[in-house]
Formats: sequence, C-alpha cells, structure tokens
Amino acid sequence: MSDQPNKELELSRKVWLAGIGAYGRAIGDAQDVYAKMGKETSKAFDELVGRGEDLEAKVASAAKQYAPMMSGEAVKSTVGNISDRLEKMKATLGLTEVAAQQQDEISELGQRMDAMDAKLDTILAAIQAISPASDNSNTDS
Amino acid sequence: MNTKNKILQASLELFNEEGEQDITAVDIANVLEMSPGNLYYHFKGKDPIIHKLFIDFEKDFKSVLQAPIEAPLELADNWVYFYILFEAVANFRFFYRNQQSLIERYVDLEPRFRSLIQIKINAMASIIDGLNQQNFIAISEPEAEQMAQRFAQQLTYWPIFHRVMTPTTSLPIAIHHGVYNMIIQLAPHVSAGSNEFLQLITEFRDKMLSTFQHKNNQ
Repeated sequence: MSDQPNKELELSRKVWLAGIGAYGRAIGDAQDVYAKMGKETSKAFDELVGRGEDLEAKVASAAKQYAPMMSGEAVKSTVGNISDRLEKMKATLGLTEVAAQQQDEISELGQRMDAMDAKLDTILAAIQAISPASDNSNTDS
Repeated sequence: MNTKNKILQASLELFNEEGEQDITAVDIANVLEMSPGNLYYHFKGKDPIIHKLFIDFEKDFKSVLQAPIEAPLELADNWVYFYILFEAVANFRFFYRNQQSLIERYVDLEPRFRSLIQIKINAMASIIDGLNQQNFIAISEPEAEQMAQRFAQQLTYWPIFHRVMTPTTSLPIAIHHGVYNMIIQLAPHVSAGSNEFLQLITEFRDKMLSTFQHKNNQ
C-alpha cells in the first residue's frame, strides 16, 4: 500500500513470492527451452518431458505414497520431523527440482568462468611474453 | 509390510474411496484376498481398525500442527506447509466425510476430534502471528483470531466441500484449489500491497492447473 515499503518488508515479501513463483517459473523455463530448440529434435527436451512425467506420476500418487507411511510402522520415523516433510513436499511440488536446476545453472556459470579465467591466463601470458621483448627493445633504443 | 499394516492400508484406501459407513470387515478381507478369520486374528472387526487409523492420523496430524506452534516457519515454507496440512487431511479424508455419524458411533473419538480442531486453530494462529511478526502481513488481533478460525474450518470441511462441489476433480488438483483458497485470504493484509501477491498466486494456480488438466487429457 505505502509508496515506500521498507527494505525488510520488501525482502520478506520476495522470499514468500519466490516460494510461490518457483513452480510457475519451472514451467516457464521449460517452455523457453522448447522455444529455443525450435525444430531440432533434442535429447534435452525429451529428458525434460521425462522429468515432467516423473513429477506428474509423483504428484498423482502422492496420497498413496503418504498413506502407507502414515498407517504403518513408518509413522514413528516421520513424526516430529517437519523439515523432512517440508523437503518431501517441495520435491513433490517440483520446488527442489527448480533449486537443483538453478544449482546446475550456477555450476555451469562457474565452469564458464573457469574457462574464461584459463583463456585470460593464456592471453595474459601471451601479452607478458610480448611485452618484456618490447620493453627490452624500448630500453635498447 | 506386515499383514497388520496391509490391513490398515487397504482399509484406509477403501474408506477413503467408498466412505467408511458401508464397509464391513469382510469387505476389507475380500479386497486383501484373505479369509475373514485371518483378518479377525489381527483386528477384532472394523472398530479396532477405525481406532488404530484414528490414532495414526491423530499422531501424524498433531506432529504437523505442532511445528509452527513450537517454532515459526521460514517465510517461504509457510506455503509448502499448507500443502502438507491439506495432504494430511486428504490421506485420512474418510474421517471428515461423514463426521457426525462417525462420532455418534465412536463416541470416544468426539473429544479427540474437538481437541484436534483446537490444535488446528492454534497452529493457524501461530502461522498468522508469524507472518505478522515478519511484517509480511499487517493484521489486527481480532482479525487474526477470526482468520485462524476460518483457516481451521476450511481445513476441516474442505474434503466435504470438494466431494460435493467437484466430485470429478482429482485429489491433487483439489489440494491445489484448497491451498489457493486459503492463502488468497491473506491478500488484503499483505503489507507491501495485495495486487502483486494476488496476481502471482493466481498466475501460479492457473499454470499449475492447466498443466494438470493437460496431462489428464492425454
């Protein structure tokens, strides 16, 4: 409502919205990937579909998966551990997949950075190999 | 899984699908392709099965409800938590399907149902209080109290509502609707403005539902 929401409030709002938007983003990402691929038949897309189907199966059978846990001996191991339950539910909703995907993206970026660093090192080495020579030629003249 | 747990699981599935009232111990034995005598060896009829299932349900649900009362949840976890609540109810939905008749026949369950609903109200109050403390929402005390009651009611009567109004809807979709209908009530109180919140959760719901419907049609 206010024109100047304070930072803390803004942050907490974003955290909450991030949780809600995560699933929607996962779908959006899938569509983007598909669009980019165009006519190329891609293994990656098939994998994506496969993952989606896995997820669908997981969600569809969620009640059945949970039911035996609750009506049997397993009850003892799940009771009192809400963080396990939260993790499990996040997985069912595909939220951990989004996190994993983001993790993948981050590590891919990391690899790119490493590759760039390596290139940069080569370039710097090349420059250094040239510059002492030019320095020498300068001092010589 | 041992025979006892097999019986419990089959009973739970049967009760959830058909309602508990018309199911007999013999029906349960038939589904499991076991002799009624064998079933009787593990459970002396339907009543002890109902009681055991209630104990499991109560234990599970209490432990889930206790979490936000003991310690506030992380802000983003609140939303996932609602799914857990709805699923906990859905897994034992036969208890809610014909509750009046059930507590008339199993009178000892009535006070336990009542205390469970009270814990529900407390848990909801803790969540609302947590959101308020974290400045995610701004809500007055009487409003928060009312909202906690409303949330508890919604959680309790949601299976009946779903079964009557949208009987052909699959359970996961019904759960999405349930969670959405719950968190949308927060919108008017969202401190940083309700519009973006509304837009996001609605977008999220529509995307999720269209995905499910698309897959169901295939």
